[in-house]
Amino acid sequence: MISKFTALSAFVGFMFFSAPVAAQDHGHEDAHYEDAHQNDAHSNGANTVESHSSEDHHDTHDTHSEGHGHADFVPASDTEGRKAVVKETVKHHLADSYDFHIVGPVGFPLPVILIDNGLKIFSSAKFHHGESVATVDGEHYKIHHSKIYKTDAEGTMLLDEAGNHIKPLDFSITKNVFMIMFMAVFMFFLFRGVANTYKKSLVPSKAGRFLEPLIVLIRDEIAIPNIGEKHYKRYMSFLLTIFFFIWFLNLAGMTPLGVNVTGNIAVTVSLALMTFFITQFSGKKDYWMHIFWMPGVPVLLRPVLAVIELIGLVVKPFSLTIRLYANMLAGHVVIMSILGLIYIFASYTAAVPFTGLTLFLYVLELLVAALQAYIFTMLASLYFGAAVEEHDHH
Amino acid sequence: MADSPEKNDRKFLRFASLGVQMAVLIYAGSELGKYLDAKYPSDKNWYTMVCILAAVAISFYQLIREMPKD
Repeated sequence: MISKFTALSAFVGFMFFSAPVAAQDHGHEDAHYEDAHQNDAHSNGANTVESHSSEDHHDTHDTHSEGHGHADFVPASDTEGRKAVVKETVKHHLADSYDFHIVGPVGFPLPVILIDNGLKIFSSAKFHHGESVATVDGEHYKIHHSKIYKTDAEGTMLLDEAGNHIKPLDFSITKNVFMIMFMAVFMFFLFRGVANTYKKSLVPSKAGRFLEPLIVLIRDEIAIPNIGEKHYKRYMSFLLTIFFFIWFLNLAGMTPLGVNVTGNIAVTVSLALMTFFITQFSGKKDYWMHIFWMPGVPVLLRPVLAVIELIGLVVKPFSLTIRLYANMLAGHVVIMSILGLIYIFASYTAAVPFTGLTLFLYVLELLVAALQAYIFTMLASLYFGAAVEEHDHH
Repeated sequence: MADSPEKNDRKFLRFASLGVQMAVLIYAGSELGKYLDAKYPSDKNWYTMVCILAAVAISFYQLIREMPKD
């Protein structure tokens, strides 16, 4: 148990230091790649400035579209080229990927699972970070813009009859899926450990000292006031799970690992759909009556109101989805863009204020991480509350 | 219960959710209108206008419904 709590505090501490580390990251890459690409720089040196910058622009774009994530050296005078590097780096950090890239050459491949003339399971190491064509059981695959496509042996993408590129059905354990599974297992052991400490004594100990106030907060401030004393217990497990799941993944997104699970619309859609279905299936008579046959209004208006209420019903999961997704994605983009400004301006006068601004936004994002989890849980409980509410007829 | 400040907090968050909900609804309305206008062309993009106004009306209805009744 001690180890779990230490792990959690280390995790939180790690996040506080990750902004300056991320800021340094590109500086190191520059120094590292300067030597490797001296030849490029020399051959370009003969050209005029205009052609030079446009060529650099293309170079960086090409290397990055292969999903490799390393910047070629771009001189500080070439602002346009550096802007393109920042853009590509931001894109790379937000995208899901088939291998878990940590820093520099360190990282590990993840399993790729495709259904394409039978089940095909292989390691993403076969793609060599998206640079080469993977051959599995006589079929060839290539990663293009973070998606797997079917190719021939030379890597030319195959077309179907309609002229579209062929994508196999993809069930791969990508970086996001890996993080979701990791967080699920982490939360299971963390909360089971906390629950076990209550068998010995009701005084919270270890991680419980940190988590108990949060659990009580969800119960007393969110579940009971919105759902009501009578029904709240049925929803507590879902509300607690969704709160800690979103919060922990938001925090994981604040590390320099480029984990962007809650900023992925597919994930937030799933969370919103779960909330939606739980709401509909726990809807009582009063809930459905207020949608289809609103009491207390003229009979002629009731069908009109039914249509409007139904639209409202469908829009709710959309607003849940978009709020979480847009907030997390926007936070990541803003932080990385401002970090990128340090690289673009390439001077100490710009670096100092922008590092400060990044740190400030970073702390703000830590707040947003908790706030978005809180709001999602709050709205879910509001919807559940509306579903089980019994009106005293007005 | 210490009723008033907590209740205000909850009301506030309820309206925070409505903002996004209105935006989504109005955007969906405009997309529907554009689709209908492309499918049934007319001289003045009637469908877009009507759909957006209907979406605005519905979102105001939702806003007013969320207002505290007492």
